Amino acid sequence: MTKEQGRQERLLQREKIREFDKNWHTCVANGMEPVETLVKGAYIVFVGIMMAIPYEKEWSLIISFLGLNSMAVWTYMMQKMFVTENRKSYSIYEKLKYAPVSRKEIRRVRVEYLVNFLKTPFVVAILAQLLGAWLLNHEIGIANVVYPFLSQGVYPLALGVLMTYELY
Amino acid sequence: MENTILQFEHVTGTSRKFHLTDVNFSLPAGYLMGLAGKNGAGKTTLLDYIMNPKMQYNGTIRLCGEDIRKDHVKCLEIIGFVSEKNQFFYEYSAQKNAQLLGGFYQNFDMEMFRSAMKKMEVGTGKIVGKMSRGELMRFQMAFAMAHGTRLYLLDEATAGMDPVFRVDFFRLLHEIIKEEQASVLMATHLSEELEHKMDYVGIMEKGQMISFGESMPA
Repeated sequence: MTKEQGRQERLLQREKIREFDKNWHTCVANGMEPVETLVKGAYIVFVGIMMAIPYEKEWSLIISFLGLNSMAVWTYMMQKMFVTENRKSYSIYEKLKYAPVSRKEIRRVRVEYLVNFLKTPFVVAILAQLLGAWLLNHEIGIANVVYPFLSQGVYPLALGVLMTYELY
Repeated sequence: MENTILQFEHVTGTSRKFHLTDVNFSLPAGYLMGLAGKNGAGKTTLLDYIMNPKMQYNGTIRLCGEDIRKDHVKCLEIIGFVSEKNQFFYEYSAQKNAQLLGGFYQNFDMEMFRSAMKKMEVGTGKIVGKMSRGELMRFQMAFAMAHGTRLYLLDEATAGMDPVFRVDFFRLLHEIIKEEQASVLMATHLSEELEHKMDYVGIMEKGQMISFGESMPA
């Protein structure tokens, strides 16, 4: 198989995984889409409020913020990584163990979903922190960019990626 | 010259757990091979070596001439696995499972699945978690028939089937392997199946295939 054929093969697998997720997730979360939108909306609002306070004004907020992100990522990824049947949870990798699809591509698609999930809160976090710093501190420093970048970008993404490796 | 569907070439496991030791055999297309042995002899382990890409071993396992380690995902397209260990969505119907999982196979045919389920006498609307063992095996067989399988791996598939259906099941297996030039590797405890239904028999003991050859009816 050439490199290009291999690449096409992987893209095709990811397409099949997304199609599977659409149908499977619909079964699992039947009628839950409005609740999901509400919860995601509440998460973005919390991120905006907490990030509006410059970190140097209230250091303990950093811990609370990391806690909020951990919970959000955990809750989001659990529904992508696990199937619940008869009150037991089964890893999606286990369910697709004998299907012609690679674990690596399943993981890649989950990371794609995670990036999409974190995009809006990430932008909101940076804007809120910059706005808060300007209004409350009357100055914007590099730390006001690095802090949201790390706490709303790097940290939740790293946590989600670790979850796709089932390191918990 | 016959096509060889499955070939084990000096396969020896390298893990510390129970593993295969120097297993060698070839299964040509259009034949039924039985895998016999006591409990713990290695029958299911041998099937695991084909189905699980994480198995570590020396030697080569070839499927239609290709080393399965080169592209295991591609190999799974043409393997039909029928076993209690196989994974499905137990709260959904057979049809829903076929829709969900069939999408991963390039050649999955829903009409063929429905027609195979009819032959297997299992309703497509039946919830997988509520099927009897026999029905579950037959559902898996129908699913395997619907995606262009060349190698059927059956792990004690006929245990739990009533004797009348079992006769029909073997007749169906022979039809499939003749029409599709496929092969069947079947782990079984039942001696009458080994003696009368199989073209080849391999006997396992402590991870080794101590005997392999054509079946000679008594």
